[in-house]
Amino acid sequence: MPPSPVSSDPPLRGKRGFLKGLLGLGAAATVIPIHAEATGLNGQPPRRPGMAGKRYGMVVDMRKCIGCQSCTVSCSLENLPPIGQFRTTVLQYEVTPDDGGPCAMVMLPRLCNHCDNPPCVPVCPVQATFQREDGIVLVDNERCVGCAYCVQACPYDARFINHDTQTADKCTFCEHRLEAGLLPACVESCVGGARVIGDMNDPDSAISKLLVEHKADIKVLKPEMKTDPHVYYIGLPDAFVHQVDGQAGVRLAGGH
Amino acid sequence: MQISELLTPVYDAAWLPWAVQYFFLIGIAATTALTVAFAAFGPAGSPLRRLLPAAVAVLLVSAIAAPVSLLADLHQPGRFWHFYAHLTPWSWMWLGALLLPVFVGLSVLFCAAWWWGRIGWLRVLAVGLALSAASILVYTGAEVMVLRSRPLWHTAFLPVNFALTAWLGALGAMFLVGRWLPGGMKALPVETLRGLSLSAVILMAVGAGAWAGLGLLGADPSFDAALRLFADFPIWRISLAGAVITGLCMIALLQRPAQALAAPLPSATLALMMLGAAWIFRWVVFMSVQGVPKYGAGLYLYDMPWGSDGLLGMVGVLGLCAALITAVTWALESYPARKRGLAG
Repeated sequence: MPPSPVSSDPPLRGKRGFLKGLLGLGAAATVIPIHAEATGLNGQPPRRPGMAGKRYGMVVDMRKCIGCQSCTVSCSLENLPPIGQFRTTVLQYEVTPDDGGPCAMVMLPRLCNHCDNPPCVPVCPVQATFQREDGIVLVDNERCVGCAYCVQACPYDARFINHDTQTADKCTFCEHRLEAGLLPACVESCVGGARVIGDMNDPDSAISKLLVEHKADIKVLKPEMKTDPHVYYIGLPDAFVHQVDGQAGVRLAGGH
Repeated sequence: MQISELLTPVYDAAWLPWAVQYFFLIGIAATTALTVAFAAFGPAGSPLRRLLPAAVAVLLVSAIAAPVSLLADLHQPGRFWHFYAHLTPWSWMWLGALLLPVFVGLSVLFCAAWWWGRIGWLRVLAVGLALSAASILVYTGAEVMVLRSRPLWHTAFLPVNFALTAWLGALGAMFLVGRWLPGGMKALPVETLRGLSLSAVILMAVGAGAWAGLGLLGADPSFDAALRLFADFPIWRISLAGAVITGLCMIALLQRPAQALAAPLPSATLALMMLGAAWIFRWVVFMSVQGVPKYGAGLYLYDMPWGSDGLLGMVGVLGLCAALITAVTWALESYPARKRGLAG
């Protein structure tokens, strides 16, 4: 992954930023384990600048997903993770109703949730992973030490240690494409238009309208983790909100 | 509704077996440090003071080998200096990067003071070492406990069990190295060691009981997560049965009189059992729990690599410990403290 232009550590702007920085510095100098709330938002370290005024989110309309994996393929072509590692993919399940009715397929696209309270960010011991003001959670893979603490902290298995770079890797909402005015690769290639990304701060954006229109049917994964995920699902069955309780697929060893 | 997974990725264990080795060694180092700090204040010639040679050897070996394992657990070990370039006081791991060098430094100084037979320095250093060891136990426990993504780790009993199993392992290590030190097993206060080991086993049983009790009252979700694993997967049931049987065997062995325990075979059996229990506990907590999907069904298979990320790494740590024990026993053959009578 090439270093992102936004992944450097710009100084915090303004008086407030200065004071926050000073507080963080003071705490570091005295080795007081102050709680992260004291230095940032939502129990998190301060966010870094992103696309001003925006808050990106994604709606996944599962009624439109056919499990073709074109998002998986286009993401892999765009971001080049190693073979066998994925920033996004579509999990596929067979569901048999208890009343003996016909089987159904569930296609569940998965990616980083770009949570508003991302548990992966405050654990990072070198601040290599961070959240921008536009909500996008990124990894500076030139700073990352590969301790994998963030991989453990993510309740969604959205992160992995990239076998090539030996650093943490994850979905970036294709921020390099967003900044160029393009859609993320997975959104662009989705044949059914199941993935919709947009600015949640803009009430007229497609995502804001979808969220209002389907308010009663919007779900997120693992809400009990209180991470406030910003990937929203339409048509997500209740049995898939928390950990899946079912028959595991065939798993082959020897992935090294 | 029956759900069958058709297509789901497998997620690697992101923390490697190096993490098991690190938590094993640093736990042994920290609990040994607390033991030696206490023993340093014992009167000359007391059983506690006679425990010092074996305990100091264990402290030195584990405190030096632990950071090596920690460094190796980083996928980018060459970037360890980033810890010191980016101040991150809200991360337990970052705090650990400050606390660990202090602990290792104090451990080496303590061992040096003992080796030179400076009882005054020893007692001053003992106070600092005890505080530092406590900070290590707190940080290593809290670092894992704060991860609410894994309910099995997200319990206050995790740091407690880390500390108690580490102490058990530390006492086992003293049982083991005692035979290679000057004076052999005869110089080791086996009766004291037996008493301490029994205390550790009883405390562990109390801890496990409290965890289960609180879990049954619905106050600890990690217990529910564990129950689900025991109910669903035979391998977890076998692990549980193995833990209970090992505990009972240890209690049975510890019932034997000190004289019988000092014999080569029973002491080695007991030592390896105690060390093994501490090590396997960490293997289960780290490697087996990483095989529990956060979202998916079933368990992930862990296929241990043979190289430095797996078997070779673990054997390498064992080799490092063996080399350090050799160096320590050689140094003890001619240590000044013997002449000053500090050891006895």
